Amino acid sequence: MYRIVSLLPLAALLFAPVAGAAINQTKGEFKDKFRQLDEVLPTANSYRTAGGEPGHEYWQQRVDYDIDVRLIEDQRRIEAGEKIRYSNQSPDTLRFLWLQLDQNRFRSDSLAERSAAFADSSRRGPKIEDAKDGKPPRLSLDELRRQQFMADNALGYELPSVRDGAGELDHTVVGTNLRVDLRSPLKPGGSTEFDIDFAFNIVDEDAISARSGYEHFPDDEREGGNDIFLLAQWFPRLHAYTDYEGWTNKEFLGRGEFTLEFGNYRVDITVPDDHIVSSTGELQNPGDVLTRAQRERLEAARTADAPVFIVTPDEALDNEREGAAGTKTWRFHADNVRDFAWASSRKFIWDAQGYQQGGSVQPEVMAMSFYPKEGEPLWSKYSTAAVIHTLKVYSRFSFDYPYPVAQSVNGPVGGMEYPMITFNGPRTDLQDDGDRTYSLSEKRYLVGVIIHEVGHTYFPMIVNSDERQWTWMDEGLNSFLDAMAGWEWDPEIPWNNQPRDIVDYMKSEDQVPIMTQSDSVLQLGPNAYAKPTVALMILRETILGRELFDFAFREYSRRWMFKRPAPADFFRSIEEASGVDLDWFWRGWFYTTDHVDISIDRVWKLRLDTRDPDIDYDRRRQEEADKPSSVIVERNRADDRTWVEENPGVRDFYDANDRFTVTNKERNEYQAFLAELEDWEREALARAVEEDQNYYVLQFSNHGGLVMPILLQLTYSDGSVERLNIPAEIWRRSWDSVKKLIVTDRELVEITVDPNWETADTDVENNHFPRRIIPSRIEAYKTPEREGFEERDIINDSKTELENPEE
Amino acid sequence: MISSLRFPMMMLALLFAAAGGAHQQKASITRVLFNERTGNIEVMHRFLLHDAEHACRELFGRSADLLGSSEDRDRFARYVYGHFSMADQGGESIRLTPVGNEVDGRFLWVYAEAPIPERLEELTLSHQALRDVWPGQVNMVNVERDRLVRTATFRDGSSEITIEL
Repeated sequence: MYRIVSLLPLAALLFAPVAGAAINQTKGEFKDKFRQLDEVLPTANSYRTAGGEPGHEYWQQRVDYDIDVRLIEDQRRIEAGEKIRYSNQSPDTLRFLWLQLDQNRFRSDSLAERSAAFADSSRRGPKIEDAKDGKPPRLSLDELRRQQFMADNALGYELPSVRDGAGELDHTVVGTNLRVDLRSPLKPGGSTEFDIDFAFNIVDEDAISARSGYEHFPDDEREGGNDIFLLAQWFPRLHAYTDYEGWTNKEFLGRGEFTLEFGNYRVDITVPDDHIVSSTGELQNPGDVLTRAQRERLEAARTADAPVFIVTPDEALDNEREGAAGTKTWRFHADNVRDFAWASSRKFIWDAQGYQQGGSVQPEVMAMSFYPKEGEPLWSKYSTAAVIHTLKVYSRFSFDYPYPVAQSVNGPVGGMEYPMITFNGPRTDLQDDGDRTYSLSEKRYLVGVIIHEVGHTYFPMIVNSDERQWTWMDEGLNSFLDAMAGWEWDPEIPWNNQPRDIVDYMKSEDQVPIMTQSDSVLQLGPNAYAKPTVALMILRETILGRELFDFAFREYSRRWMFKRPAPADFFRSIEEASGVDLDWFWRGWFYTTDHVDISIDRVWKLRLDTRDPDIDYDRRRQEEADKPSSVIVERNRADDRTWVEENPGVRDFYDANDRFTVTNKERNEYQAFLAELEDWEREALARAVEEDQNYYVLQFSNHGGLVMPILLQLTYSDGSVERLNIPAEIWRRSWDSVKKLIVTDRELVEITVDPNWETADTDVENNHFPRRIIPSRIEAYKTPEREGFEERDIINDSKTELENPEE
Repeated sequence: MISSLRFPMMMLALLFAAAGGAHQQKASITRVLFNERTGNIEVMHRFLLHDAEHACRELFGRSADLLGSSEDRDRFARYVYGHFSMADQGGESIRLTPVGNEVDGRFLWVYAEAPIPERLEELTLSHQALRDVWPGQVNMVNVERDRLVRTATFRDGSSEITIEL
């Protein structure tokens, strides 16, 4: 006992300062940028293999839900009961279960609220400004609205009952988590059922900035206006229980999103009878909730080649004006999903188009959109089309879309994703003449956000990565694919998601490695979206090539479809399937904040010393002649003749034969040298002399620290241009400075590093030899010839009347 | 005698109503480049066009077409000029001259410049553009001189940031 007590503090002392850096280079300057990642990645086991695949004992839990939910419109309230069936497929015995109570995040005593620092910009919500420049701190009216809303409305869950067949179950609420103590331990392979009744008041999304809520439209003709309800994170649902973390019950702070278990859902949604409901899953009772005309239109939409209105804009407008007479219950089934969300409003216009993707998994998918008139005319033109385009591209990169519907719903949420359903925000502007119009960038934004959110159906709704821990695993992979889909939608749209677009972020000091837990990330956008996107783009286009990358990415997607990958599984899968060691790449891009800045510093031109005096002496003579002559001699020559020229009598043997004249003495020495060579040496020398190649030594330095391939464009004096890619491994012995030999029969005149800006190199001025002056943006802007076609205001100019000069 | 515990009173002022729209990215990047070739400090602000359009609606009370209208762009640029400042180690303001603005792809660029002052040891920056419109607007400024990049990020309550050169 004594020993243990005395050892513990010592151990803590020894290991604390070197946490995360078990092996250190402690002598010299050497940095091993190619050090294998094994010591950083978790040890492989029977659940997750060293190749990044689910192991032979891989397991995950399964949770099925039967929910009966009622939307009480006038109170903006949800009342529901759910039956949860939890199947323990882990090898562990469970004595309690942890559930997520995300609505509790909106309670004024939640950890998220209490830990929000004054004027903390990372909070989702309205503006608070701290005192500055002698001005007092300031609150926005939005913040007042938020505080008043939170004071006036009881937010968070009411949980009247948690029970099983035998009665009430002990349970404890811990912030946004609920622990349910089981009546008896749940053994491996066993399952348990229990019921929860719950209710909550829906938040005003515009006031609270949640990921769901209601939006009120006070100006609609109906007295009291109308609402759009978006319901997500709305039912108590199981936390994931995993092989790598146990219960993933990290408190919900608002940013790190969710990780959940797959299961089947049976959900009855009761809403006012004039509402249209969009939901995860497939509608089971269209005969009860849809008109005959709507059902016929849905049937026609299955094979239509353009979206078909199920509820037309005029019908939606009529709905908006009138009120409900009673309620209707919409019944949805969703199989093998990790979450469930829905939307309801009498304002919805609804369009649909069948997407015939073929294959055996889900040959036909209904792509559908739901939006109020405030989204028109943008939504009917682009939303459903963007949904179908997304499915086409994403399925090519991963697997066939496995669900019967894919939906895009317009409401107060800017962009959020759930299985089979997404919330997307873009709207149009009402003009004085009653038209609704939109800007070009709003249109591009709509297409972009729909591709992105529908794309999330694949990552992380099917490839079920842990969003609470690793935002990049779904946002990064998804942003990479949405970039691919964007370019395929219309390459004329400047998507600005390429390596060149992130150089300012990459060289800044204000960043943390991509491998950082979601709640701790600085600058979430560049960290978890843009930088991983560019990293994967570079991997595909530059390092692996499309064939290897696409095979590996599809393999990762296939392996982890409907399963839960961790970062190591991604890194290992891509390496395993491509057959390329990428540890240096993951290390540089995901585990450090290094950036790319490769410079070409010097170039030496070398020529083979042939040892043959008849060749070498002549070359020396030529080299001497190529040097600029003396200024003094040049000027004297213009003025006068020299003594030697005026007195030819002083000339001798040395005037007729210069110092490079070859004699037999040198020729004999050369023959003696040749005689001493082996046959193969003589042949090699003879061939090299015959070919007379140019030897160039190029010196590069690495200013950014990130090791990358050196992409070269070599321009020769004959006008020819050649590409040469030097693999990143050239840096393995010396990460900051390397030289490379190039042998060619042509004469090199110009060298450019990364000519197509593929690598996010932050300083392109040092990419040229000889150096080129790269004007700054301001210098370029001031250059007169920049006034080009881009600056024309053709929207305005096209209104110009044609003038007749004779009038 | 009973004395009550007293806190120093401080005024809490009201901001104007701020935008509700939830789908802006709310991030800008600025390069402050010491360009030895031109002898100028060049200030190059990069905003997302879509963010800027939505901000115009809040700032000027009407929708703006930043892609199509140079007047709208100039107006936004004037707003940006009014919300960015630089001063030297003595607190002396470095007067920036507007250069212009342009759209490049998804981005709106706003340019300004000033001659590099002699004996500049510190740069005190303030970049409040769009921070009066949205909570969470983050303006990152990279100050680049020779090979060195120093970053000042305006988020939360940060009003002025001083960088040693």
